[in-house]
Amino acid sequence: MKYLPLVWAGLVRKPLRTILTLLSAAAAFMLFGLTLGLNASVRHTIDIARMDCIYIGARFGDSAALTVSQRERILKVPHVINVGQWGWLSGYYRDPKNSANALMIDRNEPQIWSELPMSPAQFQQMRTVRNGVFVSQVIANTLGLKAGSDFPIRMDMSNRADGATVWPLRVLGVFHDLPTDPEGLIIGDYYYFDQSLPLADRGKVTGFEARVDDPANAMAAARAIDRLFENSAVPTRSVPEKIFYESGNLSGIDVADIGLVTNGAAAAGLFMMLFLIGNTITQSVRERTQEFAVMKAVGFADLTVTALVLVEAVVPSLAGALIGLLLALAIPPVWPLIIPPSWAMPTPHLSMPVMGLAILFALLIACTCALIPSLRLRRLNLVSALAGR
Amino acid sequence: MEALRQILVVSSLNFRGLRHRIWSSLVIVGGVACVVAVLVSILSLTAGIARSYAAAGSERAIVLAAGAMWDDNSSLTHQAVNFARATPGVKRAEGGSPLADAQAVSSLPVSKKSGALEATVMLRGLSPAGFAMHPNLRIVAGRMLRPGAGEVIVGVGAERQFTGLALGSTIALQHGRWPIVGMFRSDGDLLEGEILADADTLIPAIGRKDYNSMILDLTGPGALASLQRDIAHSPQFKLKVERQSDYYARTTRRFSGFFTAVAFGLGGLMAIGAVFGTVNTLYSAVSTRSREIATLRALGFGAVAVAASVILEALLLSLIGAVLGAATAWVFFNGDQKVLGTDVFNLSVTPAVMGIGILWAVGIALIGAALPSVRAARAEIVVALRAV
Repeated sequence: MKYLPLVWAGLVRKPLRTILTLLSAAAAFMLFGLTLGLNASVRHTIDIARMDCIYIGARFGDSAALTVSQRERILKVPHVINVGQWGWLSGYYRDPKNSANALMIDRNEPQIWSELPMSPAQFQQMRTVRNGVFVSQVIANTLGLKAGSDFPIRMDMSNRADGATVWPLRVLGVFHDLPTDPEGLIIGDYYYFDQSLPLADRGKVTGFEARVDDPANAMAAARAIDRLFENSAVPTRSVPEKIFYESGNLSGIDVADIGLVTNGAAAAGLFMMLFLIGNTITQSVRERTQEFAVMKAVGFADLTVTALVLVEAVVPSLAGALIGLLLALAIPPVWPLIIPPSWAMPTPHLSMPVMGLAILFALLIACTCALIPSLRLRRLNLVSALAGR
Repeated sequence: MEALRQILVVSSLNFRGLRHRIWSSLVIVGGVACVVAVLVSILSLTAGIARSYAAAGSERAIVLAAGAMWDDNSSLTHQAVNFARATPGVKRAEGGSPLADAQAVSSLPVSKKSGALEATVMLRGLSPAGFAMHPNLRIVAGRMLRPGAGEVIVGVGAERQFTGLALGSTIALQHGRWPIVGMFRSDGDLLEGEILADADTLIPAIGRKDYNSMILDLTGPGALASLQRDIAHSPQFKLKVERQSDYYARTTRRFSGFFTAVAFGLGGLMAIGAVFGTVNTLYSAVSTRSREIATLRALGFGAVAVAASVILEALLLSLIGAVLGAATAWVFFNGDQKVLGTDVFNLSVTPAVMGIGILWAVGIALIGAALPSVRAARAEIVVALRAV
């Protein structure tokens, strides 16, 4: 404690220099927090994605090619315990720029997709109000919807039996977003959707989701499903949910590439910090060589002098890191304004590990930077230093 | 002239003294190098995205079904294709046949070579005219596919990224396996990351009846508007026409938009850090040079020349940094490939991207040098000399 005034004196000797160092550290650590935070949330979607659920779509990419009759056959595949299905209602709201895609789910799907934050009462409500949908917060915010809003989804070409180009949906409620669906969700009723289509188009499915008894059996079950339909009119492609997210299917950008960009930028920022703080502390020590010589002459131990230099390096680095992390924390709330939700890029999450890593690096950089000046002070020739040579 | 001569003298004196401040000068060089390396690396991807459809040009249009956003969810009947092919805005080949390429697209499940993850590659069927409309398509191994024979050729980009697409192997379609008979290059455009077949044989082989989209060569600048009018007024077919380059820009927007935002976001944040470092370094350079500056001023050199020497020092150091950073980005990323969605893009560190990096460096230098140069110019000559 008694050394505190000494450290303080060193820091405020050239206040501008300390402040500039601190601010550049803040910028570098804001970058560190945001990049690693983004990487962490992308990884998080993979961590929470389920291995015991399998997405099943048409093998050659055409939507609404699967048929309801396939459900019974998928159910008979070993290890599959339940199968849900959905149709895809795709159009726009008011302006072609506001594309709106609703997932019209059947009654089995909620049992498989247990993460969907909707209550059984809400599902019941959706079955009663036939054109009712529930939307997630992101959708409600971007399209300006709330419970009770009319939500007509328009398309250029009708796909309805009555020839209308508008699906007259109605918002029944708003639920919280899921980390696995940063672009937001619109959930409606499959039976309403299906029964509004022309007869020839009914009984079609965009995707199935199968739950298996054990995550360990997911790959085998997925392969068995694909084998089952290999030579049928509608071959399937089945992928366990976790593998789907791991393959970068969320935003279309490979998870490894996101890691490369974020980690690379974070590393470049830290490397820059190494230069900046290293230079500051070296200069500051060099200017005060005589003072340090006096301190050593009056009996300050080498260890104490080293500690003083170290603390002087740690303060701007650590304070900068803390300010930078605080600034980074202000970004997630405005993230949808920077990156449109439709790009499906999760909001950076400054998790405890990310914060901890930032603090650790701030300390590590300060220590590295203090190393050379304190070694120099240790080897200081007192006589010539005191003489000002 | 006199002012210029003064700037020259003071700056050259300053540059000669730089080697005594080499370590602190490295702060500017190293800082700017980091910023420019990050900026240029990420922008090389957006440049690659833009380059992938540069060849598409503005003289080409794409016809989709009216409600469709992309070619893979669009559907065009043979009648619609014949109608659009015959519209007046479409260019004709020498024999009189329209340069119109009705395409069928399908996706094929594959694995990525890196990480063995699930991926999707585009399988595109072209019409005979379509092959003629891609004169840049060159077979580099094997041979060209024979129409009607159930064969495909694979772009070198697709082969490099995905497993199972080597020459001689087969791809599984709904109705049978088709051999890969050739590999092609097409100047690194989007096709190079795809598998090509002939549309009329492909459509039944994937259990379809209709085409997905049609590419039209336009007769001239006004042709698109007239084409749009003709197609909009057709009572029979519900179609829409879009400039092909606009279509590509639209479909790749979320990738180019995301990486542009990331590049300038991160580049900007790092630049702020580098600016503070530059200010710091230059302030200490000015205070190291205080005697030199005071002497020069006493000899009659102007304040502007002194201020200019500080700015030129910053510019020199940060340009060295920019060149180092851009070179690093070039070495590591130029010619590299990335898969975004189903498309394969070639990263390219273009002159334009390097130019942005250099502009960024100049910006950092000028902002960072502003305050220190004012201090250098305003230094009290007498006080500084007395300290000698």
